[in-house]
Amino acid sequence: MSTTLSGTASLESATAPEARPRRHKAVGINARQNGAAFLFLAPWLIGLVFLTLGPILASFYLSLTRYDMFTPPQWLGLDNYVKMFAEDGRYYQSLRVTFTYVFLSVPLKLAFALGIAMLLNRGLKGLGFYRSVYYLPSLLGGSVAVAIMWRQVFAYDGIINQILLKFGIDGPSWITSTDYALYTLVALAVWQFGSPMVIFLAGLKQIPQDIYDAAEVDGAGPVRKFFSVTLPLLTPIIFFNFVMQIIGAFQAFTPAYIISGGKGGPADATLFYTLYLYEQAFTNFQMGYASAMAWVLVAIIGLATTLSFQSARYWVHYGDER
Amino acid sequence: MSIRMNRRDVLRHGAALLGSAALTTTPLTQALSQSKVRVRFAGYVESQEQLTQTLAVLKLYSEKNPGVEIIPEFTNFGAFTDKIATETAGGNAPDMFSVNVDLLAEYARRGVTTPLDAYVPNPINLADYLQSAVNAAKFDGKQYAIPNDAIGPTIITNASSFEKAGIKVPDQMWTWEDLAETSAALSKALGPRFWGVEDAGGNYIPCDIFLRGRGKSMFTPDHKLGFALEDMEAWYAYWKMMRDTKATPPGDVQALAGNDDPSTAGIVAGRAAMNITLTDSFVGFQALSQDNFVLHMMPNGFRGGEMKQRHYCYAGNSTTVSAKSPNQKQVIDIIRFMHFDPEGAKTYYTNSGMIPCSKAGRDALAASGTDADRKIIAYLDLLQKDPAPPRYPGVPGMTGMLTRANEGVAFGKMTPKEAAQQFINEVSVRLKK
Amino acid sequence: MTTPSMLTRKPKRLTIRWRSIIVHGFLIVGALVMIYPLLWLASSSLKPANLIFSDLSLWPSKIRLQNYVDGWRGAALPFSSFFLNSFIVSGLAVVGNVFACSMVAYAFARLNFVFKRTLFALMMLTIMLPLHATLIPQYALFYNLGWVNTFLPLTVPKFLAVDSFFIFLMVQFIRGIPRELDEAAVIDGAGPIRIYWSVILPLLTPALVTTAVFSFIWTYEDFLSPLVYLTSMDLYTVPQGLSLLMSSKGASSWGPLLAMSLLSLVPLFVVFFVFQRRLIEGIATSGLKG
Repeated sequence: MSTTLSGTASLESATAPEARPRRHKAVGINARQNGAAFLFLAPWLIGLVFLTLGPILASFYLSLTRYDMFTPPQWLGLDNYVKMFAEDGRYYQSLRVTFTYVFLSVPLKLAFALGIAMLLNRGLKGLGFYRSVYYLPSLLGGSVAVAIMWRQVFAYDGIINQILLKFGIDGPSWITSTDYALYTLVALAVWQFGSPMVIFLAGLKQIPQDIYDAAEVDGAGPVRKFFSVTLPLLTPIIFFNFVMQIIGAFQAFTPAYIISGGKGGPADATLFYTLYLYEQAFTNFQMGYASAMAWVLVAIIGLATTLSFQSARYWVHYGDER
Repeated sequence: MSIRMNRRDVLRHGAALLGSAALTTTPLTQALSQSKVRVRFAGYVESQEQLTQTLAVLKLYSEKNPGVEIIPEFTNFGAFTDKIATETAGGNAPDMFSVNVDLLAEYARRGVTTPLDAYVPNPINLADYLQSAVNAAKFDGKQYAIPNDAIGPTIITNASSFEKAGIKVPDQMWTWEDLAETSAALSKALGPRFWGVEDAGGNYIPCDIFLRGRGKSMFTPDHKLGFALEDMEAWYAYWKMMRDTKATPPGDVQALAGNDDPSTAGIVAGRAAMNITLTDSFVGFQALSQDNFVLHMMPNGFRGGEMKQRHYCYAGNSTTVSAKSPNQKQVIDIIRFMHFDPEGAKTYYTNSGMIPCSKAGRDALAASGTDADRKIIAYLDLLQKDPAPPRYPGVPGMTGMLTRANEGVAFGKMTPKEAAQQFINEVSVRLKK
Repeated sequence: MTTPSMLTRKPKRLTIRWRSIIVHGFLIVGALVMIYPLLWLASSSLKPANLIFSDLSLWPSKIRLQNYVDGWRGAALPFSSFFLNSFIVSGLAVVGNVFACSMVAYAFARLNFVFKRTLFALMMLTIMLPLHATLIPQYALFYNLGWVNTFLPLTVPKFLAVDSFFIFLMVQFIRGIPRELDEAAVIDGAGPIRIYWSVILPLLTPALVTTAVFSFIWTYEDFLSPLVYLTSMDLYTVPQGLSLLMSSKGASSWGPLLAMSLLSLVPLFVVFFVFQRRLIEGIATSGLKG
């Protein structure tokens, strides 16, 4: 089997996906195959059964109870869920905030990550330096330093306003204004684009050089190479980053927690879903209600993920499909 | 039967499977100390000095009592509340832990902690302690915690700013109207981008003192709301007026200051002259600024109304005992040692940054402590000349609820009346539970 | 800056040089935006407390190295203890995640078995539930296992592939590897285990390196799990050590806190810098040369 052969095969599969069946049908899975598969799955299955599944089921049970964490839970049925949608205005606010954040931060972050990864995937001098520097903000994660630093930029006395002041403009305190606070958190998320960038870089590295060579022989320029080689072969990774960023953005907690001091302020302008969940659980001791919120979030994320997987068959091209 | 029991049965099997692995990596400290009484002491870090001295006194106790091993478990306050809740819920509460007044009430009424009345006054004699602090550590009339320090409400005041503005720092006894006028004058003298006082509309204690000036209070001793809608409306209207007259910063600038965080406080950043807070913030605020800060009282009434000292002192940090601890006697002896053993108390309080709750302790500190210690003690003594009724236990999350409503007004989304109604609704729900 | 006349005279060479300069210029400006917080952190970690928040200039007017001494020494334990614990936990997490997750990913990506779709969905489900919702049941479980106050709750799960993120990541990478390679190995008589070990793993290097780097960094940075599972201070990890410097009221901890925050980033930066080289070199040895 030569590389060129497999390379061209992938190229074909990438450019003309509709010509082939999309999935290996699991025809006649026999006992031996099962045995091998479950051998590989064993660590995960043990973890699932003994460590993960129990707490997941427990949290679902708790979502049907009133549970203050210190006294035994009392059965409520669906009351928590009803209350969430029927009575809780702050719950709707947390949905608004979270959806806005997801819709803005995910595409922007991915675009930055992919763009910079493409730039850094060339044979530039000082590549290691750039890669590390661009990953730096993500290294800072959710530390105190990030919170303080972000204030240095977007607060009332921050850098942006000091520049504006030179033009005679008395800017607002962006980070704590009901109009802008959420967008500064979107900016923070975009600024920390390091993780998807690294994954894109790894994906780019996995594309065999031969395919580019083959494309070049066919007379493809850089633009065509990008659209007919790089992009299609990167779709599994783009898909991965897309799904994981969506899941991550729906669960976003740390940025709002560190920057708003855990309150989601001002006036609930940055009340992220999980921040509100956390407040219900650990400030108000309403763990049952918080668990119910968690399961509605699972439903939302599950729906978003399912839709992504459905869409994937139209645009994600796997090298193992022929 | 609670789910905890069911789960435990299931888990036993898992434990049996993986238990052998657990044993091999159990920390040495646990393996070696099987014969000792092990006491877990969980607390939160108020200052490096407090942490150092607390660890020192616990170590001293272990040295004097070789049969007892104390395991200190400290972290910052925000993390502490989550940790203690998780451990308690998981059935693994520490034997003794620190609480503030809000946590105290939550844990006491759910039976997590145990009343200590059997140990007062012997061996724990609180006669010499600030009675308002002792009372604030009670719930349902029972003594659930032993106060470790004494704090009181105050306005931290940047005397340098007053000087710069050519305005005299007012007398300690003043009215809410005086505060408004002085603040507006400061803003006018030192603004724009400078304000007289930081907005305290979302702050529990000044709100309580404001309500007491109107003959009401936030909570009653029997744990009910102690005010009516129009009282709370007046509170939010007062701060709206303060913003309108530029005596306090607009909503967005104020939100930046957060709650009691010296790294974000306007008075540290040099954009406000006064910050309404508690005495235990004084050292932290002063340390981050090059200006000269002093302690001032909050307004004690309204123009034309009755002027009366209304500031109550309580403990920022009390020790409480887990109801499930098998070592309660031992825990009490540790508390006794920290508070009443001459050597123990000396180790615990000297250079700790804490102001002792006992008169004897405060007198000793006034003689030996830092400049800041003396300023705070003098201020607390001033409040003690005419002690106010104590703080009554409330519900957790007060700052969140008050601030949200205040910000609703500040950002023009609510009228003071709507804000008051929202606050009352939210707090009532919590009082019921 | 690019004058058209210059470009027309010597089109090819100049375009390339200009393009390179523009790319570098763009990258450097970007790098400054990225690196600013670190500069601020470095500068503030050297300032005395009363200048950290009142003087915002990047150049400290007064230098206080004592911040580092005080921070390192700590009130409870020296930072060497926290670093050591962090390295143990993060190192084990790397090993666990790399092996366990790649095995599971191989099964999902390449092997056929019953309930495959259901199990895959279940795996995805485990990352959808927010952490705080399972914290208490999870804690109760580990407590009943007798694991609290050991490193086990932080490390054993990694060997049991509970980080679905990495499983899914590697599934995607494995699916990018042409099946012809496996099939060639099958013709040579290789079973799934040999294919996994000698075909898939070598080709998976970029994803394995990524998994290793992220496992290290994310475990090292994790705060909530060590907070609840490691109770005695001699087991504390670096973020918990930092939390001991976050005093709510005191005077002396901002400088040391920032100093140690900066220092705590050093291992992460080293790990990232070293591994990102592997990321580039990895593919050269990964044997796609047929």
